[in-house]
Amino acid sequence: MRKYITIAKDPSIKVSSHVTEVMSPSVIYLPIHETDDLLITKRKVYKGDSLFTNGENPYFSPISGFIEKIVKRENGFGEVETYLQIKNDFQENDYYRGVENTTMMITTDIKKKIKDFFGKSQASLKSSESLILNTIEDEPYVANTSFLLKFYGREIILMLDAIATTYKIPSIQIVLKETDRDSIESLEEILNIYPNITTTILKDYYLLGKSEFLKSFLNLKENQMIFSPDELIRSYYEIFKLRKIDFLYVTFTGDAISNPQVFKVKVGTPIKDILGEVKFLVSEYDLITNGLLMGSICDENLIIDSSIRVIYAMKKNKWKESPCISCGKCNEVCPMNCNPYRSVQTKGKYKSEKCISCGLCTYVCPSHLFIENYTKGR
Amino acid sequence: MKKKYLTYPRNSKKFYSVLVFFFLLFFSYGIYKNGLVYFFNKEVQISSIYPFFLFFFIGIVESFGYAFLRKEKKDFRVLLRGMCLALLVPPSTPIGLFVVCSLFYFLILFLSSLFLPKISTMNLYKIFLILGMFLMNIPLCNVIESYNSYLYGTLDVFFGRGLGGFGTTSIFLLILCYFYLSTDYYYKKEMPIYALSSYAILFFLFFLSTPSSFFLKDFFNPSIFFLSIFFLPQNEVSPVSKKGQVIYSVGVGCLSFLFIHFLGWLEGAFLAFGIVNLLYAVGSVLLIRHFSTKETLYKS
Repeated sequence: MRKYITIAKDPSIKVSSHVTEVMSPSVIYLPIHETDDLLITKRKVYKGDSLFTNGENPYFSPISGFIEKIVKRENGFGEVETYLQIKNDFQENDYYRGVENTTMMITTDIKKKIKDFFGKSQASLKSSESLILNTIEDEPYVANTSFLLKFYGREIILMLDAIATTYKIPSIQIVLKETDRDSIESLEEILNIYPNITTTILKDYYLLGKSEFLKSFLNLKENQMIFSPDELIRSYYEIFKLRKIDFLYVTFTGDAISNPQVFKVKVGTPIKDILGEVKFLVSEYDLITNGLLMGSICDENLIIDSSIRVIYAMKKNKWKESPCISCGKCNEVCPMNCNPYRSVQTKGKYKSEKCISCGLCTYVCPSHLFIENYTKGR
Repeated sequence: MKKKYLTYPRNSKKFYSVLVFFFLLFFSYGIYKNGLVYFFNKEVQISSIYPFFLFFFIGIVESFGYAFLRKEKKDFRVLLRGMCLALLVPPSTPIGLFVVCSLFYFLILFLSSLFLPKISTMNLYKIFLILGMFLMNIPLCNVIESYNSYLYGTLDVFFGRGLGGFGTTSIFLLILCYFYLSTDYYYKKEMPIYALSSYAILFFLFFLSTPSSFFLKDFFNPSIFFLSIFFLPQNEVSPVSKKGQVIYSVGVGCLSFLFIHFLGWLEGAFLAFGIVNLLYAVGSVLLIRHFSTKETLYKS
């Protein structure tokens, strides 16, 4: 049986209860690759216009404005990438795409749209006995989900209910973390009108934000569908509002800043636009994206794309690596049974394909070894 | 690129300072048991207590000296190492023998870090001390105890009148210390349980075949308790896997029983641990060498 652990948090890092909106960047950058097909033929773009596609997923413009050029610039991780540079005209012009559904009714039309939208997951949804909404954030000091539930809770629950109604799934379960009081409070009021929805409050264990770990923790069947609030709000916008979601929440936090907060930003915004809103406590710090355990160090050239959920500004760490003391805690906490201890002992000669880079081995190591480097054979 | 920004909350100085307090309690009890109680009975002079303070002083100075030479961090752990050197000394040890053995300990500590990192050097030190005492034909207990030990009851032995290092004989204090150590995330708390349980099972089976009214008194052997609580679970010298820990601890428990009750070596637990530890240290070096020879990829 897997052993779950709680990540110790610094109580002095508290995310503000207000959202700061950075929704009017003067320029945005959307990454394009050699294999992508450009779909746009004119310079003027509207919000929601399909710009290019990688064969499966088209990329949309989150602003209205003008395509300036294709540029090569650093991506924030020390590599050069190609970007489509779009200048904002601040008009927020959107094409008329049909009549928005302003009621809470789940009509036949909505059901049809849901079936189209979830076409790939059709089989799983049809056989699913219940739907799960996983609101757990694994990484510490991240408040995206709390804010999504606070401002878009009704829409998320409506979408969840609509999916359940469409596929005749009898029950819905919402999984919350006991420490996330804001989300629990946000949902309490909304759920009164949904008798088919139950809530499950879990301890603050690391990795339960990942579907496979949540399934094993709750002993769920393989075919049970788990959604995240992000997925649901995205589908809500497309199905009910007939447009692409043009914003995302990004938490900017860490011990190197005095005002950790959540930003509402457009995809493609350069991180420099956010940095101006943040008060740094120290002049030397590291910027890390998407998690202190699972994330990567980035720099001020970073462009916010849809995969970025959190940016940490952390003081330079003062821990020095010392020789392994063979405590074996890395093996004990490894959720994939990778035997990281053996990787350390053999100096990376023994590698594991199963490693998911969760960072738990490094977290518990009293010698402050960066064990992932050994398990991955770097 | 990645770095470490979060770490499991480690033991603070407070944790180690409480451990130092425990060691001071062991020391105080050792002074009482081996000196003060006889002084109050007017059986010895007050000067018989001085060597114990000297052991303590020399042990701590040597430990910090070694830390200084090896550029180790000078923290509570260095202090605890020096204190442990003194506490393990049999009460009647001559100062000269202590100095020689403790210097020898630091030599093997240095050598083991080069060749056999998983060997328990503190245990080797204890074995050399006993060997030295044996060669010099000096009894391991204090002079008065060697005549009166048959007068002690089970509770006397439980609270510390047993045979062992001058400050390591109180099983009561050892158990208290174990409960405290168990609160440490990095302490392998199951290992003492495995070792003592296997020792206890064999002991009681043995007792069933040869009943004795002193069976509990005999069971409370301070050496096996001290060793199981302090030496056996040391991270550097014990296996990582759960199975390995069970085999290792049970091996020590069974061999200790053999040496203590069949061969009559009351300090035999240290030899038992020495044998099992040596096998493990050599085995692990060979195993690491085997796995380091070529790159292997463990696939799911």
